Amino acid sequence: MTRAPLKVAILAISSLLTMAGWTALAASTTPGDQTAAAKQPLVLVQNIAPVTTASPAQTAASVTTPSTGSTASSATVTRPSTNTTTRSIARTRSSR
Amino acid sequence: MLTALHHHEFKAMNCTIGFWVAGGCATDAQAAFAAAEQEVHAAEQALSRFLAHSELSRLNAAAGRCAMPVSGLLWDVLSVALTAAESTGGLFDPTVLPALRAAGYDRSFDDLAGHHLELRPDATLHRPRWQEIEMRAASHSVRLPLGAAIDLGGIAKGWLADKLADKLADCGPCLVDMGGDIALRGRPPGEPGWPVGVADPLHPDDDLVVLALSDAGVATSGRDFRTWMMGGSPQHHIIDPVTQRPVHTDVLTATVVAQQAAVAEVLAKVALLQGAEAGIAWLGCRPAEGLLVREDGTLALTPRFSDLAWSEQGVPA
Repeated sequence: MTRAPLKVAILAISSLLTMAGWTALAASTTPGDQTAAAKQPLVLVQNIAPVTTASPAQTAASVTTPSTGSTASSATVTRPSTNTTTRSIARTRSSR
Repeated sequence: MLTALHHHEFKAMNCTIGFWVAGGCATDAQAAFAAAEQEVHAAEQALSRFLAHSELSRLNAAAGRCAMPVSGLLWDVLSVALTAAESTGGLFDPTVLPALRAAGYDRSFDDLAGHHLELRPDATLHRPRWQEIEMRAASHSVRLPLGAAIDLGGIAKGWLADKLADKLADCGPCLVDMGGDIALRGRPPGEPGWPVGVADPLHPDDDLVVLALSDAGVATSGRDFRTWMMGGSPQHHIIDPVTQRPVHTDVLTATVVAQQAAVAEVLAKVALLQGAEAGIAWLGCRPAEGLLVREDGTLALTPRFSDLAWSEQGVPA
């Protein structure tokens, strides 16, 4: 009895959300099946223009992955150096 | 070419909220900011569990009784939360509020910080209840089972960030920052994206990395900040739906980039709950990228997370 209303609710909100966004919550495959190349990253920064003085950000700390981790499902890296002049205009962090 | 950046910042929902628009008319941007701020204040009045007379508090108080008609706002956010619970098999659970209260988080964090609380009755008396919530579309009403209570804090901020970014996008490329849950639409002209820092939980004034993001959402879930002491033990606000207690994993913070901020918020929380190894593997099966910071300061990230980093030199076209 309590399940049916929930299903109704899920159908009712379909107009509120793009399906693509919420399918992010559901696994697209099983762990280990997916290579990095098969993934569809949401934002890929490629062929970007050089950062100019007009850029909102000056430089960014780089995160490097081990060469052996290119097709692994995870990679453990050391903490990047913080001796950069990073300048972001917003920061994601646990809620303040 | 320099592009004007319009900015507006204010405090609400126990956090600092920021809006950015790149280019366009300053007057239009300020008018849009004012309207968006009003939406945030209205949402706080409706969705805060810390306001005794909020719509959410009244719904929680009505648990076990008749279904309560609710506003479109509460209906929408609760529906999103239940969708997230269903999609994650209950790993994301909006009904952990009783366990959160039992752990001591029964007032706003500003009122909680610095207090040493006495031990309370065993939180394991509580259990997940999200599957028992009745959403009655015909009457636009909700009934909570007896003993259930809802907290929409994190997902409401993500949902609002997405909604407000869609509106501000009428003024141009924009960024909405709801205390760390960030939604982005478009990118400043001539830039690879919006420069969004990922805060270092061990050095709060520093960024671990700056990302170049556009048309995305990013959120961080962590147990590095909202912490307190109870019975001599440190407590935090990330509840494991299985144990109904603050989770103990090796992850200090989890940052996720997804298509929407609300989705990123959910994925980040669930990744943190699972621990670094399982969390990264879980994220790796979803169209999202993540970076987890372990307690020892080491990082775990999905294979293409580093592709999102702002490039220092750039890549020739």
